[in-house]
Amino acid sequence: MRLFKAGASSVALRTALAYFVGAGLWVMFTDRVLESMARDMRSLAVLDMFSDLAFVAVTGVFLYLLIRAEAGEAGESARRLEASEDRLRRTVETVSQGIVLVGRDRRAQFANAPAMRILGLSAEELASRTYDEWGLLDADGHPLSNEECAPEVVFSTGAPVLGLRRSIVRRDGTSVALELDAAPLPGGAGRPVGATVSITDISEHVEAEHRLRRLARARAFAAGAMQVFARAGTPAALLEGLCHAAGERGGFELAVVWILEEESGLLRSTYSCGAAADRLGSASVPAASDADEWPLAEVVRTGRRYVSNDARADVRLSAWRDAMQGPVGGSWAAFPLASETGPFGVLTLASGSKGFFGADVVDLFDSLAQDAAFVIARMHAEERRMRAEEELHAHKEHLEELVAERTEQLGEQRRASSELLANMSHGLRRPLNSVIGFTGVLLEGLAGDLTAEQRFQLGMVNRSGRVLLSLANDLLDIARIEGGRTQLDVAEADGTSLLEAAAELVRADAELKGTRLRVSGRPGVHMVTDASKVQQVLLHLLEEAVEGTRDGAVEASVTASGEDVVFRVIETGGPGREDVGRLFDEFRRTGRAPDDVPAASGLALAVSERLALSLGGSLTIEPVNGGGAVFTLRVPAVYDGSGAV
Amino acid sequence: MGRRILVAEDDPQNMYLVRFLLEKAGYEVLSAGDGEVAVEMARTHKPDLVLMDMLLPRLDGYEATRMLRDDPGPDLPIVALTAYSMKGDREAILEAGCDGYIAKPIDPERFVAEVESYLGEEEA
Repeated sequence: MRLFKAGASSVALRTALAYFVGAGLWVMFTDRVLESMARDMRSLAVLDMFSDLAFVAVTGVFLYLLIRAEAGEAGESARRLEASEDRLRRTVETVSQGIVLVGRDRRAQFANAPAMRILGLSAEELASRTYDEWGLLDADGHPLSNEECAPEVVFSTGAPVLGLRRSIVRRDGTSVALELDAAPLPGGAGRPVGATVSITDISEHVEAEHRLRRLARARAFAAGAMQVFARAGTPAALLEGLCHAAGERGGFELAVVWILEEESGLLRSTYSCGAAADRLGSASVPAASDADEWPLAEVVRTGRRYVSNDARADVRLSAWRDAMQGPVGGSWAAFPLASETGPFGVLTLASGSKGFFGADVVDLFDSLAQDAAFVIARMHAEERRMRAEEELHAHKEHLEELVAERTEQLGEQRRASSELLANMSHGLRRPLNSVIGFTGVLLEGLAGDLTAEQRFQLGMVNRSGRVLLSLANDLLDIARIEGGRTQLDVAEADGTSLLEAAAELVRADAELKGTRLRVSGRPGVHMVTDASKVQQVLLHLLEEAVEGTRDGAVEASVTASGEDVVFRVIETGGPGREDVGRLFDEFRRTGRAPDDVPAASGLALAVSERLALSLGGSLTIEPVNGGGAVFTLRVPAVYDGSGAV
Repeated sequence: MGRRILVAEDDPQNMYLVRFLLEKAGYEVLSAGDGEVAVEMARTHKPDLVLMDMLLPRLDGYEATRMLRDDPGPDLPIVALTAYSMKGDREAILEAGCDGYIAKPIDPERFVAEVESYLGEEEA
């Protein structure tokens, strides 16, 4: 029942009812009691008065108690309310967000300390002015309009607004990024009487976001650059790739690789990439230019990077801004590209936002530039090595060519000289034909009888002719051997027969001289070789021995010894045969006999040695103690085609 | 024995020697100084034997021999006179069509006998 509900009016009602009932009962009862007690009218009147006074007193006490209780409660409530308000205020003051209560008059009815700090305004200013009078500017420097403010949105829509982001510039010029949440304060009839706005300073948050993005771009650039380093084949490809990585992966507004040209002393924008690349076109800067105007030259000279995080305001970039012919990005940095001999270029990066080149990314870019320079240096070294190899190779080939040429030349010379010899020998033969032929005819008596003396003298002429012929044949043999045209007529032969046949040819001369000639050798010394050449050598040796011996004894022998056949011609008592070794050596070395020895013997021995070699054998001469010499001709029993020419 | 020998030799001294020896032995000797003349004379005068020096001017002995083998043919004895005695030369001489060779310098003692050995078959 309504009567017993809690609430101020029901309490009052209850109290009133209780009073009515109590007071009514008192009045009724006291009147009856007094009537029964009173003896006369005067005592009744006095008793009435006392009961009325008592009634007033009780009512007064009752009222006093009631009011005191109520007042106490009210005071209690007021205290509780005050305490609660106090707690609320403290809470509101200690949050980090700014809380502002705005009324429909666009003035702040309440603002906590953080709000004042964030907005840069005092409580009075907030309370006394509307927000367009607060003096705040947006990011472009224009004053905030009322429509831009969060409360307006709430007032117009009646609904809360969450997560509104604004970047503003405070009156002291500093800028701050804010996130706003606004909710309506309900009033009567559903229209908001105001709005509560929570303001959060997200500047750090925004800064962190920017940093992350910067890092992401820097890492993308670095990753792209790494790929370029791995793949690029030439320094040009590497630098171009680096530029592209910066422009495309790193998202820089403009990335330029400047190369220092030695001859002109200019830094030329060799590679460029990025949204603003076309505006730069092809530019060049003297490397010796005044550093104040253009930091590029300074970077190249000193090898130190240059970083500007507010390119628009940087005085030193005025020339850069002119070159770009238009708005430039917010940040600009130049990193040196250096080889072991010094900087050869610069990498410049321009970013649209200010403050891009924080410490965290600048070092990364620096090391990228250094890596690029390092890889290029390695490429140069590689190139130099390859060029050196090529040169070496070319040189080697050239040498080989030269050697081939020289060999051919020598071969030709050889052939020419052997042709000469061949011609000479042929030319010698013709007259020799006549000498031998006609003396032969005369000695035969075909042209008439001869006296003994004539016969004797003609005999000497004839023999001389034969000697000359033999020499001419020797010369021809040498020519053939030297010219590589020796042809061996290899056939079966008997070593002993060869020796005996050669001895026969010499016997006449030996008898004439009075020299004993003894030949020894067992029959059946089987050979497969060029018999005529062997015989030629044996003939030479025997002639030599017969010629040289002093006490008149020559012994010739032939034996089989292992795979060889050894012919020995021993001449005893020859004149200073210790000379022979010298003779041999001299001839072999210089092609001439020493002056004190007859030339013919030298030639014959030289030819003999060469013939021996061409048969795959050898010829040696050793002096004998007490005078004389041993000639040893060693020839393989079976010619195996390995004769030296 | 009234037989005719054509000698093709360009060295006059050697020619003299050969002629001397052959005429002494009773042969008629015709001489030609070079290969072309040799071929002509062989065809015209029909000798019984040709002594061919292999090194002749104009037409060398090898060519001349080949031509003679065409005309008059293989029956004509042709003997080479050669200074070379190398294996290769001998083969070349035989291949050109010569019946044999006599080495130079000629040995006067044996020369005529060697020549006659090539004429011998002709004797009836």
